[in-house]
Amino acid sequence: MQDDYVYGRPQYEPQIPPAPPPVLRTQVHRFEFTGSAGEYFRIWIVNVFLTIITLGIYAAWAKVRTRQYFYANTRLAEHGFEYLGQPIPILKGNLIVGGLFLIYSLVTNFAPLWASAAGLALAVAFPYLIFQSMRFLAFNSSYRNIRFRFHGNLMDSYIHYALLPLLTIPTLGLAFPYIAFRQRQWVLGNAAFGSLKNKFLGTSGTFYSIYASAFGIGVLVAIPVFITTQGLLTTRATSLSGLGGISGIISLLISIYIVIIFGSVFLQQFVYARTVNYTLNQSRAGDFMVFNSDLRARDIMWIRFSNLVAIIFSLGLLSAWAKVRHVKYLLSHISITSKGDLDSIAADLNDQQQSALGDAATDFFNVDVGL
Amino acid sequence: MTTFKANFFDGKTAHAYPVNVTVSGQTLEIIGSDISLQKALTDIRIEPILGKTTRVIKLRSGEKLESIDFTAVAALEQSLGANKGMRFVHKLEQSWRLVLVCFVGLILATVGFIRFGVPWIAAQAAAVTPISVLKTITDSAFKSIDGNLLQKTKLSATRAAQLQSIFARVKNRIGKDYPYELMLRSGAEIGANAFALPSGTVVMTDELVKLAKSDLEIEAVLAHEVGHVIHRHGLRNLYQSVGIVLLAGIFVGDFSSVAGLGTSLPALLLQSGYSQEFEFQSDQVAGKYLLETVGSTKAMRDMLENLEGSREKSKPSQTEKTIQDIFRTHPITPERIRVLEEMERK
Repeated sequence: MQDDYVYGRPQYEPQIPPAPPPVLRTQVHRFEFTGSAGEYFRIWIVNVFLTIITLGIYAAWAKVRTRQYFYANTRLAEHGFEYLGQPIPILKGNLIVGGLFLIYSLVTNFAPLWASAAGLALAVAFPYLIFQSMRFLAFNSSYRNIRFRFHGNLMDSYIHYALLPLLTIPTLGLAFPYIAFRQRQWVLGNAAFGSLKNKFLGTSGTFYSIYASAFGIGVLVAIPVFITTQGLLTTRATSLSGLGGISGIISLLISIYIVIIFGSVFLQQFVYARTVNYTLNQSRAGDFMVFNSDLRARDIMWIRFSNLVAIIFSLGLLSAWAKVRHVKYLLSHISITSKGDLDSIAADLNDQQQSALGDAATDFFNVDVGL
Repeated sequence: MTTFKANFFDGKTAHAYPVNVTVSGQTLEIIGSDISLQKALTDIRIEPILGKTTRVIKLRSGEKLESIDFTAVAALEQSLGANKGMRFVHKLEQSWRLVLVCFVGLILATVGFIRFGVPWIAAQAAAVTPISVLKTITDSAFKSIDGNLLQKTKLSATRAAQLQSIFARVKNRIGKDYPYELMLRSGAEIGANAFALPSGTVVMTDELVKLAKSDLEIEAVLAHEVGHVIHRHGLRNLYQSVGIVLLAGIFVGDFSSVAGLGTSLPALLLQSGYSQEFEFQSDQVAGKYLLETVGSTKAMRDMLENLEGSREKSKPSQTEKTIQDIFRTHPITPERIRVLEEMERK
């Protein structure tokens, strides 16, 4: 195999053949987040304010500023990351997506027949948008002036985001963990830092056990909740009549709704923590670097839950604090182990066509790609 | 001449070279143990300042400098006259007091925008939308409800012809240039009701025809519906709801996890606020029509009372009423009647 990166420090090592390869010290580097909630809160408020008074135009600048704030404060081995996206291309992407959304909502409201055609068009375009947005995001992320890359191709995007999901239908959803696995495999297996390509060694079995545990926990929690609410429902309905009884039932239905929302947040976080741990621990950047992730599901569940409560009771004002807190926790549990310095990783200088359209679209529909 | 310390990244490897950067005249000199570079100041771009993060300077040839000497980089930035807008943004972001000002401004702008901006933009957009578009929208909307929410009319052919001639009278008088059509239908589920679609298709149910105590009351209802058409209320409603969703997107974009909880309900409530205004505006049209033809708004007021009465009767239990009242889109009938009375007195 030909190494497409250089490790060690060849220019300083005396090259005496047939000497053994330079001894490489194993180094561990922890990620760290240095941003603060107060600072991000101020940036966020100014962002929203300027976006509103410019009728949305500033949104592109706001996005760049937010991303760059989180990138620059994400530090590894003494250096921060950098977001390279530029506002003008993002603005163009926003305008196109905004326009399409305008047409789409008009069509769905008044011409239901066309709406399904529009929905179909969106479904057909979806893997293309994911592909574009991943290329855009990787290409516009850099660390020590070396860009990240995404080497997946469009055909595979259609296989992983259009064809494979169809498997859920004949398998009645049982293929879901397999699909999630294949999508992760595709995303992580095609990521690269400069010329350093990532390999993903995971298998779908672990995904099945993660989803099975989540399902088990869900059932264990759901049964007692269901029984108590059932009991409450019947006693309420018989003891009260007229308006009081009805509003009682409504408030009970609302509380069930809230329990379901919080419950699904919990399970999502459980699955999230486990899959991030597993997929990162099974990733190898060449033979040079391994990732270590030791997120604890219960910590993440607690952070998500308390964040959600804080956001609701502060009418959204604490969302800046919540985001910083979440990112701080995530990064403090991820590290890399490398053979030797990171200094020698080389850039990939090939050009790649980029468009901000996919990024704007996936962002708009709040599609979560990769990690 | 100023000198500051920085890290230099050549863009080829991830190696960080500690360097001294000297600005003199129109050049930037980068000196380190393995590095010696001179660049014209026109070939560099200083990235805008952001919080307390490291300052970044990009060289046109692809290299990059990172420095934590904020004073020196800021001085260089100022002498180049770069990033004026973003320096202002940074100033806002750095001060809690200015952020508070922005926050208050944000609330005021949002309220103002929802109250005046969205309806104004929607009205402009509705005004320039060609009638052919209205026609397409109307046809597909009507197709989707006809046959399930609406059934064939049970009125006799003579009665239907009478109603059509009343409608013709109304539209000739106040209707402007829309392709009007009166659809008489039996409205099993929607009861006594009349509504207008954007291009001028007016639907009236048999139940409403029977509820009216005179043909003048029916004429008043039809004038009210024509009012919705000429003011393009349907289309404005539609544009407004799209505007509200886009506006919500700006806020929610930053905290998407609460999206499902928070946005649909306020949007719905705002919508019903808007449509109250539309009802009053159409009442004005009907009131004016009645004053000009018979000299009194009584027919419209009576019809509103009839409708209110039938609504109360048709509710089998308290339940339905309370749930529907929360989201009812029609304004409280007494207020509408009061406004119509006032019209007559003037």
